[in-house]
Amino acid sequence: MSNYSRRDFINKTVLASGAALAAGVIACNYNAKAKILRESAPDGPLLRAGLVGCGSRGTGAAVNFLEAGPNLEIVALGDAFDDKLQQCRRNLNEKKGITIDSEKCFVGFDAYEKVIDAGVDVVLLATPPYFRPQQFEAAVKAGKHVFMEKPVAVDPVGVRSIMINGIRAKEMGLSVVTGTIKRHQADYLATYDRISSGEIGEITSGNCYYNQGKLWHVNPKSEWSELEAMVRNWVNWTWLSGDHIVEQHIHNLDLMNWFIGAHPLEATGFGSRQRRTTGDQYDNFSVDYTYPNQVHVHSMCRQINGCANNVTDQIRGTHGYTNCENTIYTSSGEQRWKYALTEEQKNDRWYFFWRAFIQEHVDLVTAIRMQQPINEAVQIAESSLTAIMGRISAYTGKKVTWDEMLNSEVHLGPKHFIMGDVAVSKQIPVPGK
Amino acid sequence: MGYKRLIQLLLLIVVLVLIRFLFKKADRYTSSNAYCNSCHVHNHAHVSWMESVHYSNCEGVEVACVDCHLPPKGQGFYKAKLHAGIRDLYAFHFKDSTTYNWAQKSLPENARHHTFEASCIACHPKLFPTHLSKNGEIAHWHYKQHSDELHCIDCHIDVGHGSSVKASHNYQILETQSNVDTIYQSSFSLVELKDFTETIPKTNISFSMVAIQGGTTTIGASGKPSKVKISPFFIGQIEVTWDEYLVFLRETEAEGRSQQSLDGLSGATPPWGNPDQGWGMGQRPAITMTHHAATVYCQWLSARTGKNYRLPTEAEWEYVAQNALKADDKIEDFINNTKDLTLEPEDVKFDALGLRHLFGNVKEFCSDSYSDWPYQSEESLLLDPVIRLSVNEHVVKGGSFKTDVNDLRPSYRESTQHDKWMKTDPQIPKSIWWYSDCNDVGFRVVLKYQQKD
Repeated sequence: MSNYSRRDFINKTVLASGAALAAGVIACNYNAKAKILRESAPDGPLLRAGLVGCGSRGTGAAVNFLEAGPNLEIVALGDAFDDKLQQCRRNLNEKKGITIDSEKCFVGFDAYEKVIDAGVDVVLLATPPYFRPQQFEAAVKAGKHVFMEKPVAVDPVGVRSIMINGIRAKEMGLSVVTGTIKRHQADYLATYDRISSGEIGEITSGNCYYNQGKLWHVNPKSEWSELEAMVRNWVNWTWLSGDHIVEQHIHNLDLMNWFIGAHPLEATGFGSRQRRTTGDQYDNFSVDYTYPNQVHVHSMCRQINGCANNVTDQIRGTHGYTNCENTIYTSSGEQRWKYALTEEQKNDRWYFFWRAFIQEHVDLVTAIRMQQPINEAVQIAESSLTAIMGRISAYTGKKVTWDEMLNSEVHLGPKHFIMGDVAVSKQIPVPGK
Repeated sequence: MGYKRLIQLLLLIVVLVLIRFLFKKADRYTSSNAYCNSCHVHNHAHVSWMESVHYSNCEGVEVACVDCHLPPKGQGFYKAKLHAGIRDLYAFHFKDSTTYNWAQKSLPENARHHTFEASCIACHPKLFPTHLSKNGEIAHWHYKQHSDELHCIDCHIDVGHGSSVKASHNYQILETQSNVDTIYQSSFSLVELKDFTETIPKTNISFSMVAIQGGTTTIGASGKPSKVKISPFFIGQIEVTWDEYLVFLRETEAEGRSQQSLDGLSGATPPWGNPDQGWGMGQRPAITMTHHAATVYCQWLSARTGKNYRLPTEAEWEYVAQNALKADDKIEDFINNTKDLTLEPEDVKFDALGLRHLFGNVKEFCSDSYSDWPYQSEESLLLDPVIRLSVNEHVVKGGSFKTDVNDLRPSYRESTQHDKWMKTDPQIPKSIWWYSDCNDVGFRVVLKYQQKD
């Protein structure tokens, strides 16, 4: 990240907008110390949101938004496919009792433009990541606050676009929250607070894992064009999802960037495709990331059934280590601190996990209504690029640097979006060629 | 006693208020445009400011001298004002303003010393306003990443004075000119070692080539001298002109060009900004092209004329330069003394070989890679030597309008400086065709003379 300094960015942000919480660790640190997570957003004038991308995560985000506080509405829906949109519309009606007019339901690859234009204050972006940069740009230019799911791009060109429009959003006083839930989770925030105040000393290394079984796939149907089949099966195509290191493992990589307080400078990785049945993605990656001061982070992710599963993180310092989530250990492995749980939290293993999905929207609506913008665009763009550099290193077998990535012109995906055949390479990448 | 004290205090307050009032008044007066102009030494700056967007714009904002030429208040305004005031007073009373080279002071590398970036940002706090074009985004992203070495005026040099716009792709220069008088049918057919005029078929372009007799000489006076033997060849009478270079650009331009390119030759993309710096084109030397672009030009010219044009080797260039001036010649008669822009060939005399602008005007590319003195042999005679190394930088010879006259001698050599010369190019990847930050480099072509049996 040659001279695009995180600190510089933060300083300017804080100067410019006083209490504004911007991208990056320092700002988040400040956030964790200064702000207690609110149970609910404060009341205020009606905020209307439009949803772009009506799959299950999009529907979930819409419900989470509605649950974030009083006086919140979903007024418009957009999706590439009508069946997805109608299903979301029914679900919102059943779960939250809201009705969305047919005139505010838009289908097609340009649906996002119509949703943005449908009298909304907030746009929720939950399509496959490939589409995010274009949609984020349109939303910001239209002056809308944004919630967008992770990751936010699949290639360096997309990452740059998110960064530029993230800065633009900040200049316009808009709030941007993304779906890296750990940053909105009370236990992680409390742990981060302790690590950043030096409780394990200087950070020396990290490990992060997203090893789990196969995700899902959708087999093509005869009545679908190749483009439709690809988009419906998007978690298996690199140009749409970024591959699973980007699409899923970003949660851990974002955590590493957050706790370490920097993005990696280099990555050397490998990976392969053993069991995946559709698309062009790998199903396992192992990447060695080098952060400043020779801090190494080993990242592993796998989507293969019947293997050892592990979705955890660990950061080690000169005076102990942490699981980043809720516990700090001494160097010899004795528990030094653990986040104190309430009875309710003790009885619900997934309490924080589910709470975080709502918390994202509580934090977004609070920022809008208190006129204290928060902006996570640049930080999520950096985390997306972190994952992308791991992928590119594994695909090519080469060592990849941050500066190369930040200035790379790699841009995935077809040039045209017409339902039909898709002119992209469908070869499985072979390293060392 | 208490009563007296009170009066004293009141008086003090009145005096302080008065001083503050007078200071404010003086500050306002000395910050006015009228005050800036009161020395009458730079009226042209006032005139060019009135042509600029900072004087006349849709928003109706008029930007005063001090708004750009002093930092914002609270960011060193008074310190800079005091400094500028003392400097200007000294200059007004002890220096001759008619000797100032204002154009030179206006070049970005000099203007950045009296234009405050904090002032640009104070009025334009948004780096990515919504109306910014895609190219603007690319450029501002580049700036954001390199803001410690870049200044707003590196690209927006014309916003305060004058009217031309640099910060965009310039497609206009590629538009074909229609009023063409003579169209040549064929190229010159070469038979003997004699000056000739080359003509490029199907264009109105011709240029003169000067015959150079072969011989031996010693080159590299500053390093280890080396004896070289140079075979006879021809060299361009003048540096390659814009008229000539534009034909190449139009025929091979890469963006939007048709499939039938010349022998698969990949051509230059449109430049970013005004490559002629607003000095004019015509017979002025073409400038700011990269060494690669100059090489491709030679390939294009060779294909179009059926000859084998190329860049001179350092040895050839130096050999020519050694013979260009006679003992009693005064170099001042043959060079561009402006210090701030290129000149047309007619503005200087022919030298002893019949060339113009060999020294100064623009520094000229050689085909050799640059290294510290590369020739090893002091004893044996090197025949037509050329250095090809796996380095990116090349030799440039002859100095430019910016070069000190004492350096304008045959052995003076410089290197291309790729990174420095590409500093403000915001494109990813950077152009391989145009240097964004070197406005005094060009080239001249040579042609080997091959004696027919």
